Amino acid sequence: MKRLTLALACFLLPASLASAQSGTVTIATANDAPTLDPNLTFSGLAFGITNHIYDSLLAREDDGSIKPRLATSWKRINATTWRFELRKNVKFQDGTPFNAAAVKFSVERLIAPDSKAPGGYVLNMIKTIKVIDDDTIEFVTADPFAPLLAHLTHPVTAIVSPTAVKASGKDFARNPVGTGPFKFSKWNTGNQIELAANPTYWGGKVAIQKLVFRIIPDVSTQIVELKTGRVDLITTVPPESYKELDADKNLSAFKKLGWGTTYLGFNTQSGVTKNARVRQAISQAIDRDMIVNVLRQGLAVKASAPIPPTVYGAGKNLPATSYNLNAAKALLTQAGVKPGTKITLATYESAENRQLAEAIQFSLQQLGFNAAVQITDYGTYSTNMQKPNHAELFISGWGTVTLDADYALYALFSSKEIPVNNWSFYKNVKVDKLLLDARRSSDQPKRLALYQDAQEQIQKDMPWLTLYYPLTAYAKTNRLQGEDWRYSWINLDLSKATVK
Amino acid sequence: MIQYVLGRLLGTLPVLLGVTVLVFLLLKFVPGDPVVALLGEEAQGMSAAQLDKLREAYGFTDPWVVQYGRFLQEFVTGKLLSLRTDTPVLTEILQRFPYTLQLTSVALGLSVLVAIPLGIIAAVRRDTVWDNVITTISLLGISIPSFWFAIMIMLLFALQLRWLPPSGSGTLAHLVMPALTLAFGTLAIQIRMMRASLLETLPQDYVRTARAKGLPPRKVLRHALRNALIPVVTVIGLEFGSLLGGAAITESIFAWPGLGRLTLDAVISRDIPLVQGVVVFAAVVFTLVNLAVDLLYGLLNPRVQYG
Repeated sequence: MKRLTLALACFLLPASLASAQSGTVTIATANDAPTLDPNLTFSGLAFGITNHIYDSLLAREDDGSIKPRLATSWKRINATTWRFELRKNVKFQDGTPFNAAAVKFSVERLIAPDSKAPGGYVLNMIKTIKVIDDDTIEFVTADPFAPLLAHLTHPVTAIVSPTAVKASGKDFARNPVGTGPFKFSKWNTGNQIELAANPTYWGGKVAIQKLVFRIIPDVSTQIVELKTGRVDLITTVPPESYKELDADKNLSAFKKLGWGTTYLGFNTQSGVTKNARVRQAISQAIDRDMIVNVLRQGLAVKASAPIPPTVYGAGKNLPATSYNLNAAKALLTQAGVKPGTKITLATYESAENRQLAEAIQFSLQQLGFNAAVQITDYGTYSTNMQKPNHAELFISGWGTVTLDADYALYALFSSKEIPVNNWSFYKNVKVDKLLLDARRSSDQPKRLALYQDAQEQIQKDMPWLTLYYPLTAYAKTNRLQGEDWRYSWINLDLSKATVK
Repeated sequence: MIQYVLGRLLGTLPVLLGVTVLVFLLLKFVPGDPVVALLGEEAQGMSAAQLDKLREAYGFTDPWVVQYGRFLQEFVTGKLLSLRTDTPVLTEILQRFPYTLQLTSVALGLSVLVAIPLGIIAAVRRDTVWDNVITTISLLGISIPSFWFAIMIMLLFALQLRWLPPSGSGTLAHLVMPALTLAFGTLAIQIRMMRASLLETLPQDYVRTARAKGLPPRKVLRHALRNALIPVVTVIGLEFGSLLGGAAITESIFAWPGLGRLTLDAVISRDIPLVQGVVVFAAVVFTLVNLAVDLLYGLLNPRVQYG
């Protein structure tokens, strides 16, 4: 028996030793990154890691302002020309000096005509890149493009080491070299990715010696790992677990307003939802308070504007509908819709969407519709959404990653974006003009006013009902301190964090 | 016998070709745009021209016969690349296969070690309390969903008792819970097969003769077992072959980087070359395991001839 215990102990020991090594921080991630080349991907799973290895020219701060990162100052010289002064004495993790040529190299990888880069559209308004000297670069855009600075905070615009790209070629995807606080050390496919502190980081000494991203697909497994202290941070917290995790004395949970919006879209071109009064009636029949409090259990904020207040240009005090089933029924009768009329609600597979779809289906039935729900995978769903006669109603989400209104409003409500992003097939000449003017204007107060006008008009026409802004939530062990969580886990900054 | 093995291997070629055509067509005609599926929700914001460019770059605009021909050529020459990671499909598979092989071997070894004795006891002690208890266990094994069982043992061993790491791979301790989960699921069919097959063998003439000769019960059982094991070995072989294709749910819950998770991810992101590769690989493994099982019959029963 003694021998058996001993054997068992030897067998189990490595497991207990493996948890919480000093200087190491472990983050759970739902899936493997497809690549660690930030320019040639558009995957959040990749950006969540590349953002620790690389820097972009600019960064978005917690207060919404744009701050220097690899660029130290900038100036809009004329409507289409922007000049950037670059940070001096910065070296890539392979020793290559960072300079204007490196910036040109990275941006060209992204926007070159033969580039396969899916994120090219983030910077493809740039037509010419001029290297003025080692520390100065100019971008010239085809048309005036006001949100350029916001676009340069996007993780896809990170600057890569030109020498490393030329040396590794395609293998750069698995041997990334940037200027960020952590450098790449090991990739165990399907298992984990390991980074190490960058001793030459321009932003100062990095306290965390080793940063591990462990792939744990199942959220409930991630929670068990966190509770047993083998993982230090999880980047998604299901609403039903939030309180329980926060109550644990070894753990802390946080929730913050991010850049996301969850909405109920209307097809404004076909079906009963062509009629604005029907859209109004449906909006009044949906109890958004119930959705936020019961379904999302407080991990969401009730919304009226199409984009959250964290986004530059988000509308203020917009007219919003409130829940009133009787008024909704009356409005529907006025619109001439008979009880029992068929209506379809489409969405794509996710636990959150499924719950939402069921709640909204119930509301539609109360209103007198014969409502069907259609849930498919995302690929099928988005293909369907681009057909003009798609389902009358659809649930979807949007992340305004640049935190500038243009990134959301232009894509979603400009008629130029039908059918690729504007799935409501919404067309209003006035809104089109407001959005284009706002995109081009160099006068910031005027931009804000244009966006306010556009959103007021959109709210009247109601191509969407904004349901809520999901809160981004994370939980961590208390041995990790000083992490900076801005809007999304993609932007998690651990350069100033410490660990016991 | 070598001729027999070669013949069998050649015979699998048309099967494999059929498998590739089938998978290719299935993925081709399932609705949805592969480029959008590949990029996921992040494709939001992309312009129509940008999407068209990507479709062309990936060759999705060619007729499907051309696409299939290209796939087959790349597959045979080992140049087939995963759409998601741009690395050779074979590399991706071979990185994951050792994990699946390890998990499957341990799990199946475990369940065989438990199932065969239990099946024998149930047959020999037919219609007793023993038989009933064993039948109940096997019933539980088949009716409890594996994800539930997995979460329950994780809560017990990892969270409450803190004996085992909740998930991951690398040490033997990581292997315990996923192996238990898989073993529990395959237990039932093996117990039932063993019991039924032995019950069929025990009343046969040669067993009666052996008993009449005065052989001790142990030896009689050994005679009977040799024959009774053949269908059990078949079932274990089939089970082994299909588990080697990966166990998506168990692997996902325990963050085990095996083939099952690779397949699941490939299907979700519509990574067609990778799905193709995994399916063909699983088919090859399955065929080889079945061939091995057929050869095993000869060891159990010398009367089995190959040719």
